Amino acid sequence: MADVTLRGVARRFGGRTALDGVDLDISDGEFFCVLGPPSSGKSTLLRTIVGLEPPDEGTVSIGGRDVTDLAPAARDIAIVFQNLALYPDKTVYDNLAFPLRQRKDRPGRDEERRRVEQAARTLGIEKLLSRRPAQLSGGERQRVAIGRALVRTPRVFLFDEPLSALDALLRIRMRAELKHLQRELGRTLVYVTNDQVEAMSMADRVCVLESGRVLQVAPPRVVYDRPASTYVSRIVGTPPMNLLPIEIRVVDGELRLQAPGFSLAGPPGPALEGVVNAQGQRLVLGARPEDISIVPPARSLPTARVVAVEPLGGEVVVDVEFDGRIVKAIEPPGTAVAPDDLVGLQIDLSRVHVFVEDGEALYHAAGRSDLTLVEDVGVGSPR
Amino acid sequence: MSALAKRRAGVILRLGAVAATLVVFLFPVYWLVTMAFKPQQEWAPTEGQIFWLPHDWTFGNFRRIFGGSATGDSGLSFLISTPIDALTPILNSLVASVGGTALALVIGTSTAYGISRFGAGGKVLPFQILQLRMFPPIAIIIPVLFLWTYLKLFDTLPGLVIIYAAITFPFVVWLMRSFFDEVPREIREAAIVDGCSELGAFRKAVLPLVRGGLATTALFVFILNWSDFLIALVLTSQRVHTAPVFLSQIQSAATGQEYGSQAALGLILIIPPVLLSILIQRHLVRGLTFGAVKR
Repeated sequence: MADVTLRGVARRFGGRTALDGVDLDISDGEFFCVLGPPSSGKSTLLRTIVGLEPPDEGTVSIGGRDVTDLAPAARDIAIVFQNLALYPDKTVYDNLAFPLRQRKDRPGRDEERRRVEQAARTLGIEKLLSRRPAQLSGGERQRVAIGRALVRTPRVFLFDEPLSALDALLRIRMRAELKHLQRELGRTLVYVTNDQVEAMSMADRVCVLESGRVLQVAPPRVVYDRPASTYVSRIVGTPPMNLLPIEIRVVDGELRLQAPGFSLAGPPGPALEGVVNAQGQRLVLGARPEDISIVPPARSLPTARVVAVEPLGGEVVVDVEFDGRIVKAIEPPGTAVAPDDLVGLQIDLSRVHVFVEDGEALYHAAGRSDLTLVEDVGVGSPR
Repeated sequence: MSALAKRRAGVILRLGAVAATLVVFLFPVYWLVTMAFKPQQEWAPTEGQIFWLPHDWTFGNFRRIFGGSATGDSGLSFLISTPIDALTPILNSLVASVGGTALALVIGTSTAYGISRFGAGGKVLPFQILQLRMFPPIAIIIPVLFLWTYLKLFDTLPGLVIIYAAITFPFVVWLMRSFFDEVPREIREAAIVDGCSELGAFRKAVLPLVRGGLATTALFVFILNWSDFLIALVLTSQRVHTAPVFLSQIQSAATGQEYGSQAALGLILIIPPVLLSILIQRHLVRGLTFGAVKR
């Protein structure tokens, strides 16, 4: 078993907090992505797990064993660095064989050759074994770095933004290959990235990290459908989720969400209880671009003005101005709108979210139709 | 003037400048080489005749500095004052220079690695080390003489080795530090995760990448030590004279300065640095770290 457990891990550099009490449970054999913006503590997290960066507080366990004070070599972990850190003076073969040669139970020559060649075959670099890193392309170097991690079959693999320097096409290919490789090896893999597409496409579970704090740990679909906070909602999904300020009131035993230009109603039952309890706080309504449809203007619908149309081939992103802010909607290709058109906005109410402004989530419709659009009775105006 | 003529004039001017520079720099070499093979009669102009090249080529000067006679074994020479032998001073020089260089490289390289990789000594230490070089050697050599006498290091090879290492140590630290700074820190970390000890990571992963820098530094420091005159003059007496000190003392009562013998020894002293440069030439190439990391 090679599950990785972090308990209260904290790390400060001078006055800067890199990790702020991180608790994580990474399961054996899991593809675990840590997603966060630059300097959110992602790399420090990896370096703490591998043992290059001792935590100020907290413990790291691998396979149920506390390894906090163990040297990296004793943890049976491999890491692929962001800059790969191949040994430039050594051939690909020697790069791959290097980890084997440092072990106490160093394998014999034949066994070494067998294992290096096997790792090379897995990655399709068996023809490059006599070259040096400088003679390889970016993708080939990438594979050598992965191969060096692979060759000693560690219990846990750590990847620190390994694809960030590759060109877009190669990245897409490596993404699929990595996912496949991890399945095949069945080993725990912790993958750090600031690219939400990488996280969403590869991970079994995603951990969203910001300023050294874990905001959410969940499968990609859940992070997307039920983001734990406005921050998570905007870090996952392109274009990011639209957020509109709302006010809430309870009118005639019914919950009213008053947005600029329209209002929603719902039963103040258990589903919306969190929202009801948040009366008096500044709240926002969240709707993903694909959950907003551009329709001909109608009296019953909020009206907006088209600002920009971005055809992307498979879809069209339409920017509309609504109540002084830009709302993005994803439309099917061929949508016939032009800047300055007045359009109606149809929001899929079974897919909306309610958050505390710059804060945690209070409600995810998640397919339920608790909320309905009501004719604006014009009572009070939203801020 | 046409463009072609202008260009031609430019080329001629440039070649002229190059030639003039070459004359300035190569004249001493020319002088040294020719003088080493001139018999005593040709060292200075006789009756207005200048010997641009030796008229009677001879190895006499070389025989003379290795204990023989300048005019051959059979011939009686009024030149010979006392027989001299440069072999011991040359060996002394070799041992002191090589030993001092090796010692400075070992200590300096470790220090540089500590500073570059682990920030050893903070911001202050590197400058404190550089500070050691602020004093001109002549300013401190007399106190060192007393210290060396007290420590029984005066006129000994270990004494020379230690002082040479101490004097060149700051150079090694500053040069090697800049080479280590160019090695990505992940190289060391990768080696450690791959199972190396701290020392193993240094030796097997990092050091190979600064080979070129190490070779350059070694050559530089060796030349400094090899050409030292002042320190050896003060800190040694007859027993472990080095070649440069010995060279300065080749003179005879009859002729004063023995130009020919001095030139012969000078010529020999050029050989080690030249040989060393040729030996490590292929390491003097930069760019060994290319391909280590994505840029």
